[in-house]
Amino acid sequence: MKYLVLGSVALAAVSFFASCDKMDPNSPGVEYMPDMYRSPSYETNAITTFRGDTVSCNRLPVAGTIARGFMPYTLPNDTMGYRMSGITMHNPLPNTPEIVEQGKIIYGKFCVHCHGKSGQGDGKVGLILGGMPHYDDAAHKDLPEGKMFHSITYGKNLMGSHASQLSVDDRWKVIRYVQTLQGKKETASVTDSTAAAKPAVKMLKGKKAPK
Amino acid sequence: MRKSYQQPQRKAFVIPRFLIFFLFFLHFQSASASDGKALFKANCASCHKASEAKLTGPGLKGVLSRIPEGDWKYNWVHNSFEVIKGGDAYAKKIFGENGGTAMTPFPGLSKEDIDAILAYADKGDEPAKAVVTPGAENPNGPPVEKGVDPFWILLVIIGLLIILTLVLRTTKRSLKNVVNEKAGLAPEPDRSLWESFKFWCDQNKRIVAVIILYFLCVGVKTCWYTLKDIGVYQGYHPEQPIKFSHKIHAGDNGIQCVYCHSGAEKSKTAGVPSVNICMNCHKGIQETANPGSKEEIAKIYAAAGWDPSKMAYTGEQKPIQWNKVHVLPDFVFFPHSQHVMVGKVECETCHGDVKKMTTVEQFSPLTMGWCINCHRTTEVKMEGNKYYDELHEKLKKKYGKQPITVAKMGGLDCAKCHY
Repeated sequence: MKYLVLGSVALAAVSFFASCDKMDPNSPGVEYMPDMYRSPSYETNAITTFRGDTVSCNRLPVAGTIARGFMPYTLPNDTMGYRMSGITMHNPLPNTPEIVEQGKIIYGKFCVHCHGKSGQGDGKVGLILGGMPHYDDAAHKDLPEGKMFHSITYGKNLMGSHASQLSVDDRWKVIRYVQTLQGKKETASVTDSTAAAKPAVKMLKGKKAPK
Repeated sequence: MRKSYQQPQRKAFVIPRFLIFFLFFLHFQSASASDGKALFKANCASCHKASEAKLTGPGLKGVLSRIPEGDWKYNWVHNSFEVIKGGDAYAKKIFGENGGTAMTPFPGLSKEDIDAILAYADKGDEPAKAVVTPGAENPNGPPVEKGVDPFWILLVIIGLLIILTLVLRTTKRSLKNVVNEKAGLAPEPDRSLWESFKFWCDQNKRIVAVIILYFLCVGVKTCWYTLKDIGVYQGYHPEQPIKFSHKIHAGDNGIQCVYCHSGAEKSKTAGVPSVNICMNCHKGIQETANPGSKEEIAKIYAAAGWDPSKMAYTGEQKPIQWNKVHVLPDFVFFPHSQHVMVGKVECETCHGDVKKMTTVEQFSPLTMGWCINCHRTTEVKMEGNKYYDELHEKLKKKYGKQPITVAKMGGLDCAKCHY
């Protein structure tokens, strides 16, 4: 009898304090066997101790590391680099409706909140920032595609670099879509697309060779 | 009589006519200024401010007293690079002062447009400061609690009742003793509180049994649910080092999820965006109308090592330690890219309506039962998905017209997620 009373009181007390943790938004609650939940392997965005320092697990690779298949962009981030990009860089992707459609999807995710649906700079964030370029005005209507690539890669004026979010292919796809917003028609013909599909890197090398 | 009636009427007619003329004159005067403001907003505001503060380019307050006279301003706006190449001393000076970046040419602006813009910018136009009314509720934070917590009121009432019971107990005993004395009976035994409790329990065994049974049931039920909740963090919404609101960014401003969490389509983790992605917008947005926004945005600048007064990076970075909300145990493999790209699962399915959350809350329980349920019930969208072409034919032969769920493709195998 006495043990029953004590037992039930203890049970009620334990469950009350165990559920207490849930009331604090900064505490996730009770964890069962943490050693199985947290393995010693490094996880993305976690922190760890390295030679006594607390460091992020997201370490940069050794300087000069290049991922397999990745071709670094060699033009410098300055006025000369910008001008050079307009002359030397060309879209390696064909100008087909499929590519434009893919570009449109990427544009809808990464560009639209500033540049607006039709490239008039009337996206919600664009209106806050103000002074967004219109894709079809006199200053931007004939902007070379290489300069667009340069701007997405390094950023231009208030726009930051989008190289960490968009792969090289993604950038060229967006440029194809932006060109349709500027009023340039896409061409579906196969011969034209193969001609345009020259790798941009080769063109760069060709320009650099005669010193 | 007639004369005195007419005179005031004529006067009343004259005054409005004068007013109309005056208003028209005023309107005409302000026309060029407002035009300049609109043009400035549309063309210049992404790089210049109409104050002394620097953005990408210099602040334009008092610009007309700085620049060379004559057609210089038109040439500069139409194509600044040509002016610099022409060897103009002032052009070279400001080109160097602003990090050697040439201004975007604006050949489309007419001379009148440029005059209007410069007239507006020269006067300066400080952005209106957000008015913070004291005591106003902070839209980013939790609502400010007012008054006394009802828990404390309850506690005080319980305390008073206990004191009252003790007082009444002694009064009752003394009264009983008086009655007993008059009737010639023995006085009440002087029991302690515990002894009288035991005596009462002894007298009312049935009531005691019911109470114990009640507490036992409540205890077991609470324990059961508490144990079930261990390791389930549904509803967890911790404070973050920066009061970042998904409601403002994803909701009000319509920024897509993958703009910041761009790993969701490409990798296992959706990823906490690195601070350069914050800076993509916040280079230009240093303060908003929300109270406390300036301090919170300043934390981004501190993390990125950005000096907003010089509009340049200082190189002193300090990582932000965000609190992870959705945590899966390390023994389960969950790839975002597979679910988002191949499975075409919407972000909201697992993360809830983040667009309405000021602090992000764990929407789903993230238990194995929850995963398995979804795998059992979700039909695979195979049409138009080349990834499944071959497999689809095989499965159609095997299952006929039955819906093909993830479970039927081996979505319940242990090694699908645990390896």
